[in-house]
Amino acid sequence: MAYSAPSQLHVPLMERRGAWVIRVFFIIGLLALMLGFLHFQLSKSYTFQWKLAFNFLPYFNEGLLLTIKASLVAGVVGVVLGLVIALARLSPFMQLRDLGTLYVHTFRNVPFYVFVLIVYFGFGRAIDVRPLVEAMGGIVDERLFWAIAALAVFDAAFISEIFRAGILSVHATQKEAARSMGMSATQAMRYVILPQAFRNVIPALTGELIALVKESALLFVISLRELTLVARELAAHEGNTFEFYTILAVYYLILTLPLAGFSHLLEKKLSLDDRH
Amino acid sequence: MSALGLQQDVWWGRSLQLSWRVSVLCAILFALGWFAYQGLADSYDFQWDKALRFAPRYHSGLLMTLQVSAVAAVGATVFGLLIALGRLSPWVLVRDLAGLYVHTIRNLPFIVVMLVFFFGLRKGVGLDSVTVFGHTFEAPFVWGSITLTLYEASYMAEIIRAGIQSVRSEQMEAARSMGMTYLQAMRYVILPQAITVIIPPSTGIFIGMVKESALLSIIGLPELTRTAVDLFAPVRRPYTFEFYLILAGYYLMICVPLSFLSQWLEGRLGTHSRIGEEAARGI
Repeated sequence: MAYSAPSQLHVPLMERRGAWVIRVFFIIGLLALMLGFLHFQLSKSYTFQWKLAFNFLPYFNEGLLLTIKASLVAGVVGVVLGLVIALARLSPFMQLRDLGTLYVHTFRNVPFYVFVLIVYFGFGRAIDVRPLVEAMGGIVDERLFWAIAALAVFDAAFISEIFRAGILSVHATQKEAARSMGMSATQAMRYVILPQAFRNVIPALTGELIALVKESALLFVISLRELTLVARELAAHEGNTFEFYTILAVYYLILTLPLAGFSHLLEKKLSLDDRH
Repeated sequence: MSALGLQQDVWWGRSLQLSWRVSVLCAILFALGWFAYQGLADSYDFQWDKALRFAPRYHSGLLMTLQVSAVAAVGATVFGLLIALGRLSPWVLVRDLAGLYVHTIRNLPFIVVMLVFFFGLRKGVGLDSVTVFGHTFEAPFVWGSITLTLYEASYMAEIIRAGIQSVRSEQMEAARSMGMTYLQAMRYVILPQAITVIIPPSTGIFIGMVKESALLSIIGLPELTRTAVDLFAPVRRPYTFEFYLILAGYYLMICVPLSFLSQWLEGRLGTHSRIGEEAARGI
């Protein structure tokens, strides 16, 4: 029997196949109404100067670049560190497991804001990293170095949890099969377990990158001129706080929403793959 | 099986093993910490005695942190439930709106939402201080708790939604077929079953609230972090390291018990908090 599309008769009007256009228009319309009303109400007591604010977009773009740079580098370092911690937490040595657990639980229970303060105003004062920074050839300056270090060390705790869950999600028989073929425990981990774990872990890692971007907003506290500090400086200088902070929010959404969508799609695809 | 071959079949075997484990961990930590400390002390002059003298002054900040987190916890639970019901509503447009709210807020840093609210909306709305039962709450507290509530509600909504969806749909059908309205079925059938799934991960959200509340220091709420920064600022005391380490200790003091509570509840209720953990990180 030839395939025929299921009847749409019993599907509610707004959930039929073409209805997404109406939904999008409805949402946009409603948003425009709400924002318009808000704008109208606020403009009674507040003078909006959007034109003036838009003149400063190049500054925002510079901040955006720095935000991307800090979160990407910290993401890469954090993944390496997180993998090491995850392996420590799954190691046969009790002490390594305990240390890994302690690391994760400490960082999960301290605000990132406080951690940045400790790293920059504590370790940053006690340890002179200028030789190291110069050795890296000026890719990062001292401030950015500490910012990336703070982000990476902090997020490694969360990334390690993702990896641990990913490794544990690979069925135990895989390891047994690998070992029975004569692989060592390390080889089994390297060639059999980790490749499968990595695949399962990518959506969650993408989500972690979003978290990194969001956390990088706090780096303004050590005067790293990323998006948030740019907006704060402009707001302090020009006085148009609302416009600048709204632009700031939009910039973050431009960064994070595609990542969230990507993560969601991957997750969907992986769960479809796992069905058979 | 234990590394030392400790006896497992006697009643004290477990606690002996545990105390051995803890003492080894402490020894390793002490050694690592001591080396790090010696290395740092070469170039940094630690003045713990001076820093510790100020530690009692943190207590008012601690109280404020707990207050604002408690207000936000209640607010976020109520508002999060509303958003979750919105996301599960039979009307697709309501679902879309609730989804828009959740996805927008979850993908913004807390500080950005806070800046927009405090330095943007506050000027227009004109709500500054609120008096409840003769006690006046200042603008930073009012707006801080509003922002924290609205922000964390988006995470809470996802947890509550996951909890409600974990209850099989037959339960709703059965309740509806017995003549209950949608809201009655939710109230008397679905939510009581969902609550066991919701509670453990929501402790993770409460930890998140305590942590996010550190940012309220930026809008001038005199909470823990603000007290530490204020103590440091007036005379530019050179021992920031000590101040901020003590500050971290205070946060650990609030959050670690909560995190143990979460683990305990997880074991007790037989659910696992991965949902909450991931929701809390915006994944």
